[in-house]
Amino acid sequence: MIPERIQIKLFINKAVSLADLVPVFHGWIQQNELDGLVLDVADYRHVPNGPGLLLMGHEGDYALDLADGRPGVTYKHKRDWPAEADTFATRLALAVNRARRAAELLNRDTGITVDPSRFEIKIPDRLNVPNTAGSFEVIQQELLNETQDVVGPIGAVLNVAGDDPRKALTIEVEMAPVVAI
Amino acid sequence: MTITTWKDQLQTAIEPTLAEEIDLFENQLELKKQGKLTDQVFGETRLRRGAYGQRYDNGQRHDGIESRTLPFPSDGLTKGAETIWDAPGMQRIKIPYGGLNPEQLEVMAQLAEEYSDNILHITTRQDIQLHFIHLEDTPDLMRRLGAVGITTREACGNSVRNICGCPLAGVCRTEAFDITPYADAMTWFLMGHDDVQDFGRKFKIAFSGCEDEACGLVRFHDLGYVAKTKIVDGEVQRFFDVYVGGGLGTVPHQAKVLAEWVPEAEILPQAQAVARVFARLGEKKNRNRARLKFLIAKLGLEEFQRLVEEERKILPHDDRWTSYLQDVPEQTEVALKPPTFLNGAPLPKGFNDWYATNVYHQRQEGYTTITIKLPLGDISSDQAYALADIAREFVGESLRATVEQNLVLRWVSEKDLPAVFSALDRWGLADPGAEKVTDITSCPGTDTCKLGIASSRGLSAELRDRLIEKNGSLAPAIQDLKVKVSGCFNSCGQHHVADIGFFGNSRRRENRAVPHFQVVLGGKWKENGGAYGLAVGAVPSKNIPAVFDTITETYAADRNEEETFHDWIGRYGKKEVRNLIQPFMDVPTYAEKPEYFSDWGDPREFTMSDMGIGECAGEVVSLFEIEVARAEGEAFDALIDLDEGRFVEAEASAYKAMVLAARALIRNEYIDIGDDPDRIVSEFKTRFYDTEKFFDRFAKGKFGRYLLSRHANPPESIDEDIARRRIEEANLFIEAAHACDAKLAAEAGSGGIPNLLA
Repeated sequence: MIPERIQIKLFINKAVSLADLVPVFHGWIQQNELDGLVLDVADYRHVPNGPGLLLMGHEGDYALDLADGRPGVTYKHKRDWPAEADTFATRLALAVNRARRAAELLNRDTGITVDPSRFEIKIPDRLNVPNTAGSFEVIQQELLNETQDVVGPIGAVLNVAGDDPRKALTIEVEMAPVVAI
Repeated sequence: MTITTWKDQLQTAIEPTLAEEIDLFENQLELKKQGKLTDQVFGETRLRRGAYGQRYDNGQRHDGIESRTLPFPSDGLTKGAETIWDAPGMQRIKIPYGGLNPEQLEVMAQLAEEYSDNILHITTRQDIQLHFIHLEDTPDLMRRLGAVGITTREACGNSVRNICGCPLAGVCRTEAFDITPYADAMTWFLMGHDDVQDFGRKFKIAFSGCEDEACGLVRFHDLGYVAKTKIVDGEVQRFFDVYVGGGLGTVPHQAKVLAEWVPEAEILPQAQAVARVFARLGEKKNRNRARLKFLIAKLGLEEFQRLVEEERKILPHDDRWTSYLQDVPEQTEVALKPPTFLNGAPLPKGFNDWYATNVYHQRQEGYTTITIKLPLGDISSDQAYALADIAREFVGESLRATVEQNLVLRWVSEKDLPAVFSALDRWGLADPGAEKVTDITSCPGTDTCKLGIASSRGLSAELRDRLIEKNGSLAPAIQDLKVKVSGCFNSCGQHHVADIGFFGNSRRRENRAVPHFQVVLGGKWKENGGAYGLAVGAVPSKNIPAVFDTITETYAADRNEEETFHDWIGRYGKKEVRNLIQPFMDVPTYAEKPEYFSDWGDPREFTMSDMGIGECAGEVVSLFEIEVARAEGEAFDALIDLDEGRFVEAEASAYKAMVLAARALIRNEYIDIGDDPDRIVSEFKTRFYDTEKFFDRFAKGKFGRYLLSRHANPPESIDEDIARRRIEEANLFIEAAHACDAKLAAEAGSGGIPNLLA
């Protein structure tokens, strides 16, 4: 079960002014700050709880996304995976790393931080990974068995899209609490 | 067997002919990759499947500092002339008369989520567009649409485009009858028909149920139908008035009556006859003269009517002309719920404002149609899923897209209105003010369109935000205004039929480009787009909100009781309106206000066509700017003459304005050109037209020919139509002169054209 498209969302715990981010996003294109070919800024500030402000790219899109009323930094990889990204785990690692890079830049340029205790994985690929209990089970096992060295120790894996077959499989990952030694 | 492709998964769900077409298209993609199809052939093939180009698909983008090459991995592969294979494009999805059901809406939401940017964009012709689509995703996208009964066939290209229809058809209180089955029959009859495959240009059709409302806007379509009835032998029978040759575009044309009282059984064969005449005699080489309106202007309406009648007589019979008529019911849709009325139950907060503007009482008692006001025509995938659920719960199948870029839910039982409002509100879909001043129409403009000059969506969003903030204090007359914005002169935002319209252009200041909008006032939305507004002046983009306030506040204060904006503009006069906007037309220096050199919503320094601009050469005024101001003054005089009924003088002034604009360009190279129009036109042709310096990247020599053609063939008689058209041509010629001057300056670096006043 290898998805062609994976989206990672790193949540932000406070309100963000997207208007202030428009020049920041253009600056990232000018300075070539992000991985992949980034083409342009798409502005959907006017859509309630919508995709927000996007940096549309060739291989993948970055965004400050407002879906579900939960703002977050997203990265969706959509095509031209590197040859070595041939498993769910390697693809997830690429997407997570790119989302984290965008979050670092956001923090550097605006002071905004992301919530380290959780993140969301959405798989908008209904052909290869339909939103079914079976898909969730497979992805859950992959996450627990193959990806913790990349994403960190996982506490829980939750299916947040429910059983609505229209929706993309969406999983929220809760990180395990850090134990002081 | 494991299913690994959408083609396998959906092979039994798609109508076989459509499935074959999509397979063929996928094969053509492969052939293009192998170099076995030319750009020209593949480009038209792709367009006819609705797969359009998008901004920056030539691989160049100005990032605000410099123009950069976008390093797509295409390795030289293209999908059309100057169109890189891997560059994202736009997929247009035909939605005949805007009608769609919840399942179709859901599939489009899924496609937006997977292949696009989570947004469905409703267009001004009731299509739905997805942006940032990779060409290689389009066959699967088309299959998934095909599985729910949607085709993208002939959504673009030189073909019959989406057929528009009034979104209230069947529920309207003033219509003669429901045009839905006729629009539907026309759609499927003409789609892929042999007689519509050889057009020189696109062909747009619309249906309206009545004459007086906006409905399908038939007056600016190539072919338009207005329903009417009369009693024949004691029975009510259905007819249409048929209009031809309308169009907006750069120079708008009002459609003319092809025939009145056409029986319902005749509309398909008559349309086929029109198509045959257009295919046979329409312009093929020069696409700027290839729309039907130009053929009718060339032949004359009477000759065109005669040719269509002759063609009709020799058409081989086709059962499809009338076979659908036996299935045309009195009412095409069935309500999900019984009719009821609001019963005094408590209403949710915000309901009353929404009810006042977004609810239409159908002619069927107890039922309403509600408008879901979509900002800039956009709805997210999540909202679309929610709306599909709401539709299923309250109305069943009945959704329609509108030409004002909204969606409507029909057959809502009145008692359900509070529940529907609350459900919509939960998803941000219960904005009040549908079809009012805050419901601004906008084309995609520079956000995604290759032809966009200024940011129509950026301006629309800015105006919308400001108007919503003060909506409670706006005079009622202002609240009713129609505002429409296009990113260039091509009118996709339908600015010509707005009370207040804007279209994007550009001016030069200190060797920098400055985004501007031309202000177009006094169009008429009602009566199917009954009158076109006229341009009164170009204003820097950043001054448009102030201009908007000035005009609307003057209107509210000065209007007579019940006077519409269209009528007020006629009474107040263009000259006075020009005086209102004049103080806003100047551009400050870059040092004073650098924000004037960026567009709304885009902090990059403004550029045209991603061409770099030279270094600022200091505070200078070029000879061209001085000279072209005379042309603009003359064009405005023409407008005043037109306003006051002096059509001959208006036409002459418009022509003179073009001559002066041409002279302005020539004097940069040849200071002693003098004032003789013959010499000016001859020099213009040699220096700027034949060399293609004056050519627009997309319109080519179209604007230059306005002058050459008028100079060579002065009209023998002049009426209002001709005068109005000449003024539109003059304004476009002047815009092209500005663009030419800017282009030459950029090509030559700073101040490339000798600056004699510096």
